[in-house]
Amino acid sequence: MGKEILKLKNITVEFQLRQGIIRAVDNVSLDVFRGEIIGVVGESGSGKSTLASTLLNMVSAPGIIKNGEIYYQDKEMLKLSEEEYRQYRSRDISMVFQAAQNALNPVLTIRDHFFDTVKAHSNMSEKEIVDKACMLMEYVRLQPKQVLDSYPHQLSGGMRQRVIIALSLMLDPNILILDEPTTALDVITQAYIIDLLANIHNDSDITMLFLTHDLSIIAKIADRVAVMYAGNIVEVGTVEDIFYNPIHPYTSGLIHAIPSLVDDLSARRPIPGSPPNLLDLPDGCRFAPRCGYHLGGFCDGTVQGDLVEVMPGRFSTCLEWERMVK
Amino acid sequence: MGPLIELKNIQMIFENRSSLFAQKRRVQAIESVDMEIKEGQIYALVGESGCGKTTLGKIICGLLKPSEEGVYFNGKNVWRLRGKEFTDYRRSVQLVHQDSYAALNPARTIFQSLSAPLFRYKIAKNRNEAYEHLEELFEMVGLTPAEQFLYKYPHQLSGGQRQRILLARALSIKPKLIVADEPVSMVDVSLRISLLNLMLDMNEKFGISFVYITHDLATARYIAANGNIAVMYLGKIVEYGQLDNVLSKPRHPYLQALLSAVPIPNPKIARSMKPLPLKSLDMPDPTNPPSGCRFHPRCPYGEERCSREVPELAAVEEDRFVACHLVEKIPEWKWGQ
Repeated sequence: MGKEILKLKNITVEFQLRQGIIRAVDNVSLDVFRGEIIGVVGESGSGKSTLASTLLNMVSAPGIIKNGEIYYQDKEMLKLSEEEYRQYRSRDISMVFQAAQNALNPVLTIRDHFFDTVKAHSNMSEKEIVDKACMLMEYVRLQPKQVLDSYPHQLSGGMRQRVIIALSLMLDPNILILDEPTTALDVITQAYIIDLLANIHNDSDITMLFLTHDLSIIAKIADRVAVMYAGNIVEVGTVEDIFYNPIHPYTSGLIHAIPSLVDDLSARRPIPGSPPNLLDLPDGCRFAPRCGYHLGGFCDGTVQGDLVEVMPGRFSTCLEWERMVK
Repeated sequence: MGPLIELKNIQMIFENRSSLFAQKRRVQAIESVDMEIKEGQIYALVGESGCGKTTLGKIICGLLKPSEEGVYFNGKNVWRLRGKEFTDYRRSVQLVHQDSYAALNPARTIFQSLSAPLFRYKIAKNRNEAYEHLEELFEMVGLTPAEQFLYKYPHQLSGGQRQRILLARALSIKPKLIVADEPVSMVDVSLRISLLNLMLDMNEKFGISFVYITHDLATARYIAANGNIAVMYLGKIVEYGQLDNVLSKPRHPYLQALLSAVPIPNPKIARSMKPLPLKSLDMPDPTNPPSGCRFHPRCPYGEERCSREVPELAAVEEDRFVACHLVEKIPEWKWGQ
């Protein structure tokens, strides 16, 4: 395993609303190692998209980064000025947004998108830009001649998503953040994009942060996984750890709640209850009202555990994690 | 006993013009679909976006009139039913929508929305009766205590709760068939199974048939484990049969490609799966579908004949139908290949 390329320390993001303050991301710490694919899984409202925009210092109003530090290659990012931070976006940390349909400007051709992005960050000539764009597009199996002069509406969803991936790689970033990159796509296109991302990862030493609600995709592509619930990271481990021996009841519940095409159907169990309202969080452990271990009387649920390294490389917030080890 | 609903050679053609003087564009959304829906059975209708599965669902409910008439309810053509017989059909076949927020009137409380059909079908005479009836239903779908939900507006409830309310609404007038169009795709992953279990319960307790429309093969397998599956591609059913049988031994190349592409939540299996080498990733333009077999431009096994002749949905074994000329030649497909 490589060195940490990105370190998050005690990140808290707050949204001040009329009804009260929401902590969409609450005291989250995470190390990302150079060259790995780390998956961040969570249901809607768990804070994964907010976490992604925090990394680029682009949390949208009324959200503010209340607390915490982000170290990129040992440089404290949140202390930088807006202009200094801008230099890092796309060049060092690049992002592929959810719903690629909306990430492209409908009145610009694909060629203009490439020009805009590159000219904002470097002084490559137009010919260099077009050459590099063509190379990247061929790499993602698009026909550059045809696509470069198209407008976004002339392309299919899968093609747009591939354009965005090519665009995000234009400046050779070190870190690529992918926020639900395949959610709106058909199954076959999705499988192709995932394979493509795996190939990009194999061919370069790019670090990927893959955010999704879909555990199946994580199983296919990630090296390590962080599981989010109600604004917290509740478990971190390698993909094998998470799937075959989870040590947080939420992770285990989630794995048993997904129907799949190969498993025994009678082993599927829903997680009782529903995710908490962030405005009205339970005192103590946020998962306690739905947790089999708490309801079974193993813990009193009054203490919200911190994310602790309970075994080498394995983190969990659960106080009763030992009971889950097989 | 005959089937509850029978679809005979359904065709659905949509026509539109992009401007007043432009040529009409024709989209054939459904091309000659035959299907029988029996009482107490569960059917999964699976396909990718644009394959016509939602259109077919609406045709079954009588919300869209097929270009060729061919929906039969208890043996009678529904588009010729009048009066009481038509009311009976409307009542017997209910639809549950994908977007639970859009399916409920935002300006009405849940009680107002859900009591209307009870009065319409004279199941309840007054508010008190309606309340008691709904209270019982809400208990059944796991929304207790009922008074906590009945006087709320849709925006005050979560997606999972609204979806349960839609199921309660469909149930309230005692239908024989519920067409559920992607009922769980907008619900949190941890809650999906409980909704599917609810539908299975209703099927067992009241013998209600379900047509479960989805793009997600895994949830289809969960709900229709003992039922049938129809796989659609560009307006046609390409494979049909008992679900376990179909998913364990897919015969049509499209279904094989689809199964190879579905991500499996198990790292060892997921990483061993290899995609079927399709010739093209993108679905053809439905306004200008390919000649012959609609899958031939993408099919890795395609022959010259496939671009000329349209394959019929034919029996390959008992209760198993595949629409492919080369079905005998296509190699067997296994998990992890």
